[in-house]
Amino acid sequence: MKPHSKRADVVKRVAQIVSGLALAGLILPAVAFFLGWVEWETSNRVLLAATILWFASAPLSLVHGNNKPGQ
Amino acid sequence: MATDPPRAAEPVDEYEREPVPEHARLGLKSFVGQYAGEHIAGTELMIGPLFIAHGVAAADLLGGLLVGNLLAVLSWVYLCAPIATRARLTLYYQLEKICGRKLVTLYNLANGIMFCCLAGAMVTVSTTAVGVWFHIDMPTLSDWSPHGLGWILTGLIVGMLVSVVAAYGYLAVARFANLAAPWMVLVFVAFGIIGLKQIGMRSPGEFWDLAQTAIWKGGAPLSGNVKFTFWHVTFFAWFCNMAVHIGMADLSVLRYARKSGYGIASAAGMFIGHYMAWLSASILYAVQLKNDPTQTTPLPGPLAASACGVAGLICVIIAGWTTANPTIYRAGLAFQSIVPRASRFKVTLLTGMAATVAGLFPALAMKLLDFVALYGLVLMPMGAVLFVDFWLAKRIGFEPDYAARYQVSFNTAAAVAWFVTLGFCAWLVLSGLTPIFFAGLPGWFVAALLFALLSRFRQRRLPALGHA
Repeated sequence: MKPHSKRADVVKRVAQIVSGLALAGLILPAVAFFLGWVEWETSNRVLLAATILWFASAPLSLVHGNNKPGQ
Repeated sequence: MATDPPRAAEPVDEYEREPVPEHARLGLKSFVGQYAGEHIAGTELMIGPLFIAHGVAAADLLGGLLVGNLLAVLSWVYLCAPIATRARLTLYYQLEKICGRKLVTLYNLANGIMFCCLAGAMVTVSTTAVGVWFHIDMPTLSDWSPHGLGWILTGLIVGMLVSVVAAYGYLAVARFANLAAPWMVLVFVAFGIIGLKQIGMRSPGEFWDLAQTAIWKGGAPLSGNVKFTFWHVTFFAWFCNMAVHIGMADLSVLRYARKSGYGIASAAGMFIGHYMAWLSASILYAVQLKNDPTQTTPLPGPLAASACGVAGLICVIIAGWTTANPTIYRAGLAFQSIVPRASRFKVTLLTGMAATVAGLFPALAMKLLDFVALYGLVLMPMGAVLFVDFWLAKRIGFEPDYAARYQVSFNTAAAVAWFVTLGFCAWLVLSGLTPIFFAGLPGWFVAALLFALLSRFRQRRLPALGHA
């Protein structure tokens, strides 16, 4: 395997983990707010951070693109 | 509400006038992803609250959405997908073979106008989110015309940005929309969870009580809206995408499916976008009414901000933008087919401007349920024409693909079936016999019967021809 493709694989793997965490970061604060564990403001701050994290990592984790009909 | 996906268009004009070959066909997963993504849009935040404005009760809404969405999925599975996977042609090409070029041009014009209005509603939705940041004066539920200078300026800026992007960077936004889809689904889930807490729910066991007493309480609708029952909800959920399943617009998508059964993928879109997302948006509106019963206007921006803050506002803007973009693009394509020599860039830009102007009128968004029903109704008769021509023509005794076989550019039988059906449905609605949400069902049978009878009558003296 070429070094650059190995590096690309590592970047993609890391990005997949980060984007997974970002998706979890969208649901967990809402659930925590529902259970009364965090304040509404805290929940919103985590939601915003998870949003930024998702849009930063998802393009790298979905690097193979889409395979959708008609596109 | 269903939006058209960023699907085949100028960038990739594949198999526009030929069947999709075997090597280009796709598996079930591709369709699940596409349907899940395309049926969650900014307009869901408008539709959910409108159910409450129509005075719906909890059991009617939850039951009606379940049955209506199931019927919509079955329409994809049993009406659209079997034709798509047998003919493997686009709707437009199949209609052209049946109806002739001139009638298809008329169909494209109707399609383009409807898309333009739909994109306008999406611009309205995004404007409400931008408006929260700039503290502009928002329209109310009963407003029909543009509301104040702040609203007009914000709407114009949002609409122009969407239009320029649609004209320049269609593919980039289409890719961005695919990227945003999983995030958007989860933000809608968060809307629902946070909304339930805000309405006063402390444990899942309290849901049904709260649903009946605090969220979907039933009773009288808000002023200017008809009372919604189980049947209104069922038929709305079934027919809000009538143009794409019964109207057959999704032939263009499902022609890529390896198997006819892949129409079942539409369930992902229906039960995420048209069940979970509508319920979440509805809960947010109930919270708004609980906090201030005089504030009856469902404004997606403030609703989203009240649950998820800035992330919620970003969701509304992205949801409105990524769905308005392909809608404007497709409206532009429909108009361009009428004037093929015009530049696609200019046509898309002009279409976007028309959608922007439409979006300045809040009536389009505030009466979205009625508009969506109208949208399906206008295009549905051509789906019935195509269904009869594909399955029943030979059994009834006339040749399918009449326009292609006999080299005609205007199939009178199809045109009469379309226009008379629309007249019949308009009469049903305007005379008060039935609300617009139900008119599609008798309308389909009228269109099918008229086309079958007129085609048989018209072709009885024509010479028999071989296959076109």
